[in-house]
Amino acid sequence: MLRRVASQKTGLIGFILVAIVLLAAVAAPIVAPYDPYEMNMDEALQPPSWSHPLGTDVLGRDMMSRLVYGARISLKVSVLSRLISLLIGTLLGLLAGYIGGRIDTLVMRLADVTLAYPGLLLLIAVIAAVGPSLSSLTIALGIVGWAAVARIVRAQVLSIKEREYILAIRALGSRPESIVLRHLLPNCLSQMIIIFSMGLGMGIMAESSMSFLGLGAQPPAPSWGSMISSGLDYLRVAPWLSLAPGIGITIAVLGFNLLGDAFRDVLDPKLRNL
Amino acid sequence: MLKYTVKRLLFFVPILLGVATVTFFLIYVLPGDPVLSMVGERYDQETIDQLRAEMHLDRPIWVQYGHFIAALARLDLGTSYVTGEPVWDSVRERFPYTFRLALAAMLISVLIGVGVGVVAAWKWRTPFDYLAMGGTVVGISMPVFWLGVLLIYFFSMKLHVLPASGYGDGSIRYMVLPAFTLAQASSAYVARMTRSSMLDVIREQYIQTARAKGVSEVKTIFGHGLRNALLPVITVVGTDFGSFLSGAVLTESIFAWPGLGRFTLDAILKRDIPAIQGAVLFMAALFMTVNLVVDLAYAWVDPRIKLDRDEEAG
Repeated sequence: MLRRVASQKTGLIGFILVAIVLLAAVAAPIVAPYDPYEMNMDEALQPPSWSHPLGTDVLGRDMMSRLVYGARISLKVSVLSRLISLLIGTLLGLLAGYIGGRIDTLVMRLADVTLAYPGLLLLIAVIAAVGPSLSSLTIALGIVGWAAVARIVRAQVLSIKEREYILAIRALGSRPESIVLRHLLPNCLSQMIIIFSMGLGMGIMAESSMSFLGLGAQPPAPSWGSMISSGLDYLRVAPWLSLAPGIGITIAVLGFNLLGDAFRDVLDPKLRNL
Repeated sequence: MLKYTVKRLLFFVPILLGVATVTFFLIYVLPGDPVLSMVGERYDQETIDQLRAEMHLDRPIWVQYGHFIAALARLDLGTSYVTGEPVWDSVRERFPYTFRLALAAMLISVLIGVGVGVVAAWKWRTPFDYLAMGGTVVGISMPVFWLGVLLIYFFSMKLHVLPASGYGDGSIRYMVLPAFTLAQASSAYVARMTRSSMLDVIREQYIQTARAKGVSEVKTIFGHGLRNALLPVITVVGTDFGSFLSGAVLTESIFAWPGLGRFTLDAILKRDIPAIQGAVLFMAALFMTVNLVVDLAYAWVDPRIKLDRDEEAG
């Protein structure tokens, strides 16, 4: 499957960009030239040079190292929150689709309500209530994202639960749990992969946006979003502080978006308008 | 059409109520004491108890919920913990700023998006098309707030042609950078939508007929093609209004624009719960209303939609 994804031009570009981000995150201690938290006031606000490829921030911390470690934060928040969304959404989607009736109505109306909030607003309201931190952002982002997953899984379950082979298994006296786990769930798998991969870019965008607003990662954590916002005060004298992390975000989001699109085209071209 | 309209309206009210309920319980069920966050820990227990009673916080949660919904029905969003003023008044005062910005952003995204989309479809599979579509993918992947920073850096700090922040005297110069920032993602979506819609239309027989008749290429593309391709584009633009509202939180925070987004953010930083609730509810309700109007308008213009949706809902 990966080969088919990579055989599309845009898929290949996405694959390369994601690989760069992954490599930065995994090999951060090796790739990063300095400790991202280490302050050195003698070297504060230095422009990019050979010893500091992206310069240093107001506390003399090496920007290249912070950028590389930032990939870890973005990926961690995004992947974990997507997993939470996937778990809740799949569970409720399966329940709604398979049992139907009142449970279906309840779950779907709840999904309508969740999706009625524009963009980041529900997330902002949740974080306003629990207080900003990376772990609460991860959980909140995960919970907020359940509705879109549930809708798609439910639709898939509805489309296969009346098929003849499912009816046949039912007639043979198979228990509902086993029908759901062994037959319905595997049939939702490709949709789940698509939703997961397409959501990763959005997750990174949401994390950096919230951290930019001060509602995600807290200092001194090297999150791309908070790096841009703390660099704003020095935009005139040290523009690299805000410019470099934005390139990181764009590369990561672009990579995951392209890769997600490629996965979707390979796995299920019908979902093109998703 | 009447049946569809009534049906959509009947769905609208419970979902709005659901949004109000979720917004209410979010703040009250999750950990954190609103009174403590309001006065800090320096007050004595008596003052805290008194405040709690004033805010009905000593009552059972469902009584509080009842108060909240009843007040909401009178458009009473509560009183700000910080300013002591009714939240509804502040929201009403701030909203026009956000509305102006959103309107300007909408105009920009239509001009750029439709323009780029039409030419990309017209010059299908040429370098312009590839470049434009590549640009839209990057545009969608680029953080709004970062574009804002870039624009400030180049236009305010390097070229000194536009003010970096604030509302100033309300002149258009202050609106240019925030409006372009807000319009970024939407322009990209509109361009993609226009292109694919135009490509569908260009293959229709009436376009070939027009060409065969010898109508000029420009007139064929804009007069016959664009007119028919615009419908799906209008929906994208309409529903993007919602993204302008949440994008406004980011954009207004960078440009110190005195709108609803900035208001929400200030409320969060001060833990002003009624203000957060009020602003979030107002924006969600507005978003839902715009979506409803767009859907109804769309169904009115294109009856095929209504049938599809009816089947789906029934």
